[in-house]
Amino acid sequence: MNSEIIISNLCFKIKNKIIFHDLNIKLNNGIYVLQGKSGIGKTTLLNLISGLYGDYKGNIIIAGCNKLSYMFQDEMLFSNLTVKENLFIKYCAQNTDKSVFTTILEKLLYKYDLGDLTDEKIKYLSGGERQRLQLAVLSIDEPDIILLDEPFSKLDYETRNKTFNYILKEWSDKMVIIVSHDTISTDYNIKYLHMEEGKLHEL
Amino acid sequence: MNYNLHQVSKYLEKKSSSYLKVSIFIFICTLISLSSVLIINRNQQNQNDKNFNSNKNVHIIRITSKMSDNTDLQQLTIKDPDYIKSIFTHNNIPEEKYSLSTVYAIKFGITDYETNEALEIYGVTDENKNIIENIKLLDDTLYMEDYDNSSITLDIPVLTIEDGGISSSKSQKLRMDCKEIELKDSPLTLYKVSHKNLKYAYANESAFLKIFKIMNGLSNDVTSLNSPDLENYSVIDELYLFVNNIYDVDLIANLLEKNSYQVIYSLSAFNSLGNSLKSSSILLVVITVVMVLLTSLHLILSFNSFLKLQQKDMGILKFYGYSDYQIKQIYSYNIRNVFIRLNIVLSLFSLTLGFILLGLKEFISILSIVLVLVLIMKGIEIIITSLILKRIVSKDIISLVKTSKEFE
Repeated sequence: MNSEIIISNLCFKIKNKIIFHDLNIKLNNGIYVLQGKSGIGKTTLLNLISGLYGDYKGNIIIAGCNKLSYMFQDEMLFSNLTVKENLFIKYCAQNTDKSVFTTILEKLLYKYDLGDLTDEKIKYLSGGERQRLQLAVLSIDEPDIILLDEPFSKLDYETRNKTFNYILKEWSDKMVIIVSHDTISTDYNIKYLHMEEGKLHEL
Repeated sequence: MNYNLHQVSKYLEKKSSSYLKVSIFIFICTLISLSSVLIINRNQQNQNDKNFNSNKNVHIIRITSKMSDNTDLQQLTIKDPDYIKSIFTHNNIPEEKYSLSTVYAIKFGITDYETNEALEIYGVTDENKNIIENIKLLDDTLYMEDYDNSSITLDIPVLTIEDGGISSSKSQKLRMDCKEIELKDSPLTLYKVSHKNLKYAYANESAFLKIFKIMNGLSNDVTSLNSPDLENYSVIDELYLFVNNIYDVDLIANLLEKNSYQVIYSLSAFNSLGNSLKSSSILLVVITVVMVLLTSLHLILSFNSFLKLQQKDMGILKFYGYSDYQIKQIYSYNIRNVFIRLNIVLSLFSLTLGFILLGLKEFISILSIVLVLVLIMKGIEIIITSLILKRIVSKDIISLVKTSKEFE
């Protein structure tokens, strides 16, 4: 399914500080890396797309999308629970059939290489393992659009590339918007978006 | 709540902070103290009730004599009961608040014909059974402690007044039924000294009048001890005034003393005991209420802090797709569990302590105390889940995650 995000004439301010003024952009399936200075409004844009802010002017139209998943910059995991328990809690948010969970769990653990860590508590996992688990959590919903806010910020070069490969493997045919300061070395055709003074330019 | 949410609640329960655990521990300790105070207070009340409220002797004011204008002590006359009632009416003390019993006495001259022992005979009007309990005094019958025979023959001297003095040259025998009576806790015997050659006998008004008439050679026209013909006789020994409410005893005794009556009553030995008991009860209630309020406030604030600490978790749940209602259910389930455990500990403690101190007969009181404590806890639980939890859960994801960081 081809998903589309059309943003037109978007104006938005927080506490009298103008973040966006007349922002226009159209995004299709593919992997976008959103870059720009700190505090310029990258996370705010993801919040607006995901519907967390409602008091904006202009239009944000999301088409061809059944599910949108958003990975916050902050780690959204229960740190003293295990990998399995975290995935179970996410699964229960939308599903009541517990018998299917085991199958989904096995699939996700295999896909994100977390098999040996099923019963490990989050606080004992490395940064890369945690990010993989967060991606696994997002995968449960089988989203069409994926928003990732600074997923590589705490990772070293090697782990960053490994994590990106997981993203590619899972969602290369979907729309993925990644907020990142880093350049990612890959053969895949990544589209870079640069944010400056409330405007967005495709590089 | 479906099974899965149940399971989620259990996972999140593991995250209870040590701060909350300490607060709950303090709360349970305070409630245990509160429960102990209530039970011990009840025990003390029972003791007070036994010593004072249920003890008839404490309610009784003995009116022994009256002071005349020239400060001579005078014996009571048959006019005094009505006069005392008129004093009470005049001072707005209704008849429902007291009952007045008259004790008549013949303290000399009569002997048991068979044993030749001296007898002091008392006539008792005791309609409300405040002086002699559980027994109705019959006509033609004398009642005595430790007397085995079923009848007695009285040797009654017939008195004559000669030259201003009383003398007797003949006597008359009177056979009466005799019954044993238990007067251990009666005010009649409270101040009486046992004497080897003296027995105390008690009769109703009719039997006493019969003996009195023989002794004083009175005609059959005298049918009552209140008869005007007896005005000049010293027939009344004492009046026993039973005051229904213990707190009125001081007041009524003072009123009688103000009207020149000589009174004896147990509470006179204590300085405003009635008021002290009342003040203690009020103070205990006030302290208990303050304790409950402070403890409840402490627990509510602790849960408030705990739930604020959980904001990030609530944010994660929202981020995972849980609705406000589901999140409220998840946390309510855990809070309810805490309160159920508290209730069980507290109820078991209160029941055990209650049965040890108060016994099975106070089952209803113990149950009431447990019920009050359970209701207090239910109230606190409702405040926590319906106000605090609801307010926090209704925040949006970003606020939950951000304010959680600020709070930490």
